[in-house]
Amino acid sequence: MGRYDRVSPLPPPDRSRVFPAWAVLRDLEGRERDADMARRVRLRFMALRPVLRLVRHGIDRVPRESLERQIDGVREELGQLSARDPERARLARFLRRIRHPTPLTLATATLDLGEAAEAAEHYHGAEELYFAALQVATAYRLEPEQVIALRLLGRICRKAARSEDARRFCREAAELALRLGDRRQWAIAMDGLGATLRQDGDAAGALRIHEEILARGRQWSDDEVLAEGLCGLCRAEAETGDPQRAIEYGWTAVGRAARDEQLDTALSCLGAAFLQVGLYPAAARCHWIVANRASRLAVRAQARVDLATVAARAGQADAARDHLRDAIRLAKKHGHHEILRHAEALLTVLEHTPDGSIGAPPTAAPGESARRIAAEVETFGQALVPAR
Amino acid sequence: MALIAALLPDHADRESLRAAAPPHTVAWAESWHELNGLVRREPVAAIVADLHSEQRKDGVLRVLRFSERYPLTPVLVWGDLDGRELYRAGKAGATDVILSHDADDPVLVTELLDYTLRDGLAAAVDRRLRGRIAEEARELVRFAVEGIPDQLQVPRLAAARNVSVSTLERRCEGWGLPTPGRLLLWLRVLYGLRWLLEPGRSVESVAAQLGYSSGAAFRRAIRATVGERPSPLRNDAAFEAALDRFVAECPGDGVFRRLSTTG
Repeated sequence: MGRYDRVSPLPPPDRSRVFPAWAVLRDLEGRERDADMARRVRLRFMALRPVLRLVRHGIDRVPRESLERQIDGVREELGQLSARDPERARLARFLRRIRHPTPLTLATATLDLGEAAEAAEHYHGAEELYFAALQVATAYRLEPEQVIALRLLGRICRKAARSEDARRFCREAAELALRLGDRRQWAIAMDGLGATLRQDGDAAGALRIHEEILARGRQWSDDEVLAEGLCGLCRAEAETGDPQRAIEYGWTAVGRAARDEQLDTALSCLGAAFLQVGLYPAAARCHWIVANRASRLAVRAQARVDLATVAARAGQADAARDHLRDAIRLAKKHGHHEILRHAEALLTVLEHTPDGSIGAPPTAAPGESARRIAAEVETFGQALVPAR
Repeated sequence: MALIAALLPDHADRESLRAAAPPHTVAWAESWHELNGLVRREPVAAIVADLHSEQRKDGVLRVLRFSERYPLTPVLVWGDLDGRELYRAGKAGATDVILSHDADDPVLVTELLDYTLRDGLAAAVDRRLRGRIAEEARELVRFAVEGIPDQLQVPRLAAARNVSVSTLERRCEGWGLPTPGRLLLWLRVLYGLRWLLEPGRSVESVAAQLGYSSGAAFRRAIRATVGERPSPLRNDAAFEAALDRFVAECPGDGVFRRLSTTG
């Protein structure tokens, strides 16, 4: 062991001073003996190298045959992962996409791989992949992809508790989106900025950001931007202790949601707000709808965790455990480690609680308008919330 | 062109590097000890080393020690590395890696070698002269910097530009450069000062690498250009100051500077 001591305590070098894609390997920090992790990050490192090579030299200047050899070399090593491992399929798909590279395929494939790494809680890997996508997008002036990469960098920095970086990336994404006239991306980037401020405890600052989104949505008569602002306000109000207003914002967001995904988000926000005032059936109905209609598996799995939380708060321990088992199965199958970790943590808490209920009692009694909205939501079936 | 010192015990690996290295030359070492000796003695621009070249020895630790002694000399790590080794190699200061399955692709290996060698003195001097002297003059300086480790002299510099020594002198004057002899003297000194930033190198070894008959001769060259003794110059700020003095001796022809500032 002694011989490792001189290297392990060294601080991680700056991204600009180390070889391309090295930062992907930083997910090994503190777990250098984890052989499975080492295998995964190595494959991700090797998969990213051709992308960075193409960025460094230019797509047209890397000989096709040499690029294919490099990609084939990585593909041969994918056999180190089990055939049923979702990471293997993801990497194989990524390699297929970059085999005939265009700037757009390179940027989007790298962003997708980054999101998979993020879902697996490999934040260093995700950040490096987003950086790589940003490099591609910047080099080839793909401004919409630049916005997305900046926004995702903001998100990953927020998750890694690097608020200053998160705010900077979100602002850059929002400014660029505004310049491009992409209102939707502007709203999402600003929502990320609001979420970062909330995480930092700056509730007033966050509210201002979400209100700005709402105001712009009204000014532009853009339902999508409006709904984004309303969802953000719903979350912010729920967190700052005004669940009544949160419910009203959430309910309006449900009515304004312009896309299926946005409707899922609005329902999740509304469900979380109902939970705070103890309106459990309405909260459960919101999450149940999402769990059954969402197209993204990660959203479905998260909705099951939310359902379990509601059931546990309502004292229905058996139902909570059932939901968590479903969530764990889904998250495991599709490699959503963030959700898996939350679900397992909740299950552990449930199993160590004698009466099977968790969490604090409702922070406030529901007001008249909250009860009216809850009554309406409870009548919703999956079909009553039509997919748009 | 550059000299690369390599520690690759495997015959096939050596062949792969041989195929990819030209126009650079490769000097082979049989151990890390020999590799360090080569860098100390020869004007090595980069090293290539198989991390598993010595059994039961931690190759990453060797890289760390090397990069502590020669922080400006790039280290290209070669081999079949697992995730942990790659992670540790980056922390230890490896400049880049050539993985085993990429090693038999000379195009990729050449790309990595060229990229590794790009950021030496030539790049630093070129950055300073950009916008100051004409493109043709910059090209001459670039060529001269790259030739310093091969002990380039004025007649060879003139021959490489297909002109006589006196024509080259006239051109340098016209471009606002020092005379060719003074230019090479400056570049040798800058090369030496940059090498002296590495703790593993001594004044005597650098002098020998640059073709001086002794350390004293190299010290005299430093006094004739920078105006100081070498020992206080072993830091980044002093090197940058020396670079500034060199640039001050390259005023350019004035016309180019006016054109490049007015567009």
